[in-house]
Amino acid sequence: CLRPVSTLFSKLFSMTIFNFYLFNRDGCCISYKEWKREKQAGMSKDEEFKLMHGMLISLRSFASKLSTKNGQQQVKSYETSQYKMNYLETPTGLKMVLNTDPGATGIPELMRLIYQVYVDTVVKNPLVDCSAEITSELFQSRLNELVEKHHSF
Amino acid sequence: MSKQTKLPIGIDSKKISGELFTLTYGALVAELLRDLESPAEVNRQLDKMGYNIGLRIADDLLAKNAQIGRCTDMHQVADVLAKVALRTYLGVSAQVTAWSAANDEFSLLIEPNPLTEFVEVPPELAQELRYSQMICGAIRGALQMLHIEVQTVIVSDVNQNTEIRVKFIRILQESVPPGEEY
Repeated sequence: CLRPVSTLFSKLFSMTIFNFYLFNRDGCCISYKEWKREKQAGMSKDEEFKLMHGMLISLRSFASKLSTKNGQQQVKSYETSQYKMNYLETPTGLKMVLNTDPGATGIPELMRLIYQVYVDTVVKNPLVDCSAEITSELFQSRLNELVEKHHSF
Repeated sequence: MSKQTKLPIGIDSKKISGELFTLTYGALVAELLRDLESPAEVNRQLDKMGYNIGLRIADDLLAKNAQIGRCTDMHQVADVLAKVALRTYLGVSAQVTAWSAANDEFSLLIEPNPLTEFVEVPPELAQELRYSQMICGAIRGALQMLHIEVQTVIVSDVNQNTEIRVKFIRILQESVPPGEEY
């Protein structure tokens, strides 16, 4: 059985997933969720979202301007001594951020799965406005399930 | 879920019968012809519906195909449209032909076009009606989601191979919150 081993590992390396941001192509935060976030930013959530989005755009422009190689490139993550910011941007302009422990594994794959959940529950639902904040219960619960079942949680 | 993982990559267990799709589309076109005054107006409505489908379908295609990245030139766009998008949603692949000298315009030859499988357009409508116009709208909408503005027109349709002409117009600027310039 794999489960006890993976819980043991996550205890040993304290692998966790802290929080999640989803920005639409206009830069609005359409979903935010936190699981094991210990410290708050000390500003309103709106300001925090703006700060995060601005940072993502700057990071992208910074990375492409200081690139030492031709061709396309994408920022995938940055890491501090305490956490790792994992980033996924789709060609349609959707931006996804998942903050985890630096040792967490399988996060890019998890973000692809979350993208699939977003498509299945939001994009494919003709009654949901894609540009507004996501209120879909189904999206929330499936996102939660996906993250909490993940071996890095 | 477990059923889905056993299938080869690229095959969706949620596939529907092509005939059901084709006949539903036919019923829609027939209804529009009854409701609206002119075939030109029918074309416009089909295009608009296609466009709205395209806006949503782009994300679906990208979520299913992680290997598709940002396209940098029209040759890549043409390849993805012909080999991946049409294959996924219509079950056929198209040929890319007739590139313009500036490489900004190409034709998609869809053969056979599943939408027109059972269709014979009466002669009084044949001149004006663009039966598969919805595909044009969908291509335009989907590419707009990828920040590419194109013009799409049907060159030939029912009774012949369906030929769709796609012309690159411009790259759409990604929106940046006001006050932030990069």
